[in-house]
Amino acid sequence: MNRMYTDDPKNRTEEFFSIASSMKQNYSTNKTKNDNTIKNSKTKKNEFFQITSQIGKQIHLTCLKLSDLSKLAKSTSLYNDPTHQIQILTHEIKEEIQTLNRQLESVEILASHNTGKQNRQTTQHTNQIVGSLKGQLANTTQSFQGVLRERTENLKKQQERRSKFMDNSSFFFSANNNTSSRKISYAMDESKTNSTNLGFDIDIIENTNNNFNSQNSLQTVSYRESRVNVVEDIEKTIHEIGTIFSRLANLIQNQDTQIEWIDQNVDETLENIEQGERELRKYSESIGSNRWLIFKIFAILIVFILIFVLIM
Amino acid sequence: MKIISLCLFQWRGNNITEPKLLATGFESSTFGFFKKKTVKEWCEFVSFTLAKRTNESQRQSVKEKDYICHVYNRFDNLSAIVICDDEYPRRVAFSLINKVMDDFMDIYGNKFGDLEDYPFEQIVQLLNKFQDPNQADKLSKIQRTLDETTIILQDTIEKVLKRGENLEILVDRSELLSNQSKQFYRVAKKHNRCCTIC
Repeated sequence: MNRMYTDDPKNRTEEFFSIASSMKQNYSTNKTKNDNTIKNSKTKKNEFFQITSQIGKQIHLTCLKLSDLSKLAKSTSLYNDPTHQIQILTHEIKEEIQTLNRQLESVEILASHNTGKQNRQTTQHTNQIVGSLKGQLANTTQSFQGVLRERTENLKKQQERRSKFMDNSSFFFSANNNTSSRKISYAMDESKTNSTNLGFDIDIIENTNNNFNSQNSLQTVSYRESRVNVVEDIEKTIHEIGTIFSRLANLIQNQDTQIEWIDQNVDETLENIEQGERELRKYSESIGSNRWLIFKIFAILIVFILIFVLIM
Repeated sequence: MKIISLCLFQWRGNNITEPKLLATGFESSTFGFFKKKTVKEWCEFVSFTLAKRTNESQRQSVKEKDYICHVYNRFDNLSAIVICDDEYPRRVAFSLINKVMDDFMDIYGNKFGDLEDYPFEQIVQLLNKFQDPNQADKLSKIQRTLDETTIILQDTIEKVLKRGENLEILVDRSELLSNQSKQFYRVAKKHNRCCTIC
């Protein structure tokens, strides 16, 4: 029964034969065993096989979706990037893998319950089924990881190609994308150790995709930002000019008082000099008019000296 | 820094699948005589591809060899591409694009989409005018005038400071003068009062 889920699902003749043979066996063993126990074990076995067949079918569907995703991820055109579809697909595949994990775990528990009442061969059989389903799920998760890795490498290449054309405004983008792609690889290494459990976050991939989409809008933003910056600079310069003018006015006002001082001083000087000139004139007039007196005084002095000399 | 070419396209319309060239202007004086034609064709091809690959209301700047191509697709079906060298400021290129499109719409606004041919000679004049980005762009002109004004103002402040120093010297000297003249007056007065005899 294990081979059925890997082969083409349309060809189910072998499954039919096996079911027919198993039913024949059941029918033949029915005669030798007790009915209740047979019914119990049969229902349990049927349940078990139904669940496992469902799980197998879902694994196959997931495989198909994964092949679609890998085709999309391989597309490497610079302009038409099917990121939206890729995101949807990865999200779906991730959810399906998680549900399949849970179902497999419940099947395992069911099988362990059943082993008490089954004989050795059926336990071996169920264990084999569970093991093979686990293996198939592990294979799908591995291929999923491989597809995601391809996708990140493609994104990196696209980014490099874009950076050859574009401005340095996308410079910090490449740094950002390096960190996010590193995160993806780290998470995938984590999940490698645990083959049945996926531990990584697809939101990281969504973030890189969003980064690429917003690159175009960043250019329009930077054009507007540059205009805004220029206008802000002009505003600053006008403000500076205003402060310079006010400083100028202050200086000139201070110099005004100094000029008044100078004016006062010069006026005083003028006055003093005029008065001094008047005094001097008076003095010179007085000296000039005084000469006769001086002559008279000198004459009297000379007379006294003559008298003094005549007496001696 | 210079502009090589300026192309105007109609990138969307009634029966238009790919961008239709409306007007172009070239500045090919720096290229050799035999290269001029190929340069013109290359510019037209690059402009055409960019106009095709840009979305509505989106500005892009693409680096191609030594030149940068700025493209803007406007919502009213017009698209303009400027190819210039990498020193030319981006903002001025986009303001040139806006001006070209506005001028074009001024002339052909109502009849846009109907006519076959749109002769638009001003495109060459605009291209030449914007060769010097500091002159043509208003924002950079304003900024330059303001910078000149600040320089002049700083000069003025220096001169005013020197004037202040001179004024202080004048104040001191005039004080000195006035004191000296006072003394002179006093001495003269003293002479007059006491030295009457001699």
